[in-house]
Amino acid sequence: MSRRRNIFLLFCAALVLVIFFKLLYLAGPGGSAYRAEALKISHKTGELAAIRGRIFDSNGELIVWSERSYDLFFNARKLPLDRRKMLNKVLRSTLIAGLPLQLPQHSGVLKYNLTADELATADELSSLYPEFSVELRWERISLHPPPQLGEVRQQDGMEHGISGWEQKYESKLCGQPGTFSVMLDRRGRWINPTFRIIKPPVSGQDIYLNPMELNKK
Amino acid sequence: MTPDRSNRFYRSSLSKLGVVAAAGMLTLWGILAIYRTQMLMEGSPYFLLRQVIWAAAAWGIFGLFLQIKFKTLCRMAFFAAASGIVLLAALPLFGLRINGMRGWYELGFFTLQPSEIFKAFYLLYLVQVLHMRNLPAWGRLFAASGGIGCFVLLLLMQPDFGTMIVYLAGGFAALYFSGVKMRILWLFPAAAIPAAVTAVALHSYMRSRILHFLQPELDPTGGSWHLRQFAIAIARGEFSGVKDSMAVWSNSFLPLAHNDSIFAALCEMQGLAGGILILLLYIWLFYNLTQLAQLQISPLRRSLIDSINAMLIIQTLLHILVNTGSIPPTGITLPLISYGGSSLLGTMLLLGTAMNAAQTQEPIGENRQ
Repeated sequence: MSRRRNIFLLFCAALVLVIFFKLLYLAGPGGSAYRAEALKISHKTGELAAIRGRIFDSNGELIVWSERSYDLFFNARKLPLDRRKMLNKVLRSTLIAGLPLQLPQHSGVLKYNLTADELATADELSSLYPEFSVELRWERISLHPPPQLGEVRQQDGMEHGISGWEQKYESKLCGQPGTFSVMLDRRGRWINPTFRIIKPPVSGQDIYLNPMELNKK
Repeated sequence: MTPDRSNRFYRSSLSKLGVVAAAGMLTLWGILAIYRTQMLMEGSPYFLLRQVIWAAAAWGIFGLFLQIKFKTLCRMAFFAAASGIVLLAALPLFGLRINGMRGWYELGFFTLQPSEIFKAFYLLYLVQVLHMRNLPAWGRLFAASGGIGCFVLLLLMQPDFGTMIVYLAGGFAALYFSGVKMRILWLFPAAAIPAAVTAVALHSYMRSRILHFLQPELDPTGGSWHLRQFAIAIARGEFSGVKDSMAVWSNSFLPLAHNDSIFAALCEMQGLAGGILILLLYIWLFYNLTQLAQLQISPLRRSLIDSINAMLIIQTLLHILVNTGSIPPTGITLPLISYGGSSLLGTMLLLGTAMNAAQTQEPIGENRQ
């Protein structure tokens, strides 16, 4: 019986060797193609928007500032009819006030300026249904905008001055965007514990205008 | 006590201690691994808590098993194996379907997989039948083959292909270690090959698995998807593993990472070093079981421990070979490590039976060779 046992153990030892070399191959240089594929599938890097600087008058009174807001976005790309019907039902049962009763035919924002509660609901909705997403938007707010203030345009999640003081002081107000990395699950959703800030964003500088500039037409 | 008996007693005690220590370490490692395959996505210790409860129950039953006399266990075996057949036969009527397989009974807050629980009694029945000296050789072989056939057919009906292979291999090991002549044993592989070819021809999913294993580039996002995820998980782990918070494949991409894919998940989390350490722990466990078998005077006990050892080795190797992409994928748990109460309980019952068989050296009324 001892001979039979030895034959069996020899057979098992051969299989263990196969396993060992396969592990060695995959963990070593043989796995580099798989590691590159993993990076491609699950690794995402992006920019972190910097908050735009504020503008004060010579008395230190705030003229204009930026506020962050979140919108619920709908992506209608290649949506089959059955899926659309199902999403319509989901939308009707969602606890976000002011949503349309039917999904629009084209992609677009379903609701601007989500409240904190609505943001939590929208976040859950987007994690369950990839057709929905929560988009960050900056809003430039001024209670009494002077005519020289100018305008900003949203680009790549940042605000850029295109006229007036906003354009003149763009280099100072704009700030520097940061970068982040995050890993995605198999459905393409972010895995929050893997979020890393590679380079933190640098906020734009505040501008204090002098009286001459304020009086300039 | 003569010096020979004293030496044998000492070596036997050392091997038993080795079995308990290796099994204990693997159980603990499994609990930690299960927790780590859930920590990024689930955020709750649901699987961890359940596995801890199952581990406590399985180790408790293992302890109780050691208290039963071997003769009583042998007497129970026929009844228990028959109960196993009845429970497996009733699965198509009352069983619960999970992952396309009707292999569980729902018992309130937990489910039970009879094919895992009855492995020990299946082997005990086979080895006992093959050692019944009052039966002619053909009668023993007929009774054993009938037992193997019943279990294998019932597992095919579920269909649980992975467990069926383990039962088939365990049955073959029982025949092999019970001294059935080699010319008869060769008939089993000779019959298994046409049976396997017929099964592959009849089931399209089996054909597809083999085809995608041989040609993974055919459909990397479909048929070969599982195999690719195993390879990626092991490759990501490199030599020392990724950080806990970066074990994305174990937490998301690997199918059933806490169960059927746990070895690949472990390799991602602990790297090649962790994978080899696990292999060494298993080798230590199986070495101790082999030592226990060698020390037995009774051929029945020796064959039983050898068969149990062979069944566990084959299950472990199958799981690891599937997870390293060395054979076509089939769902099979890694003994002691994978999540699942039935699997853990079944393995502890197998170890308990082996330890029980090694308890007393010279029982009354057993043949010695």
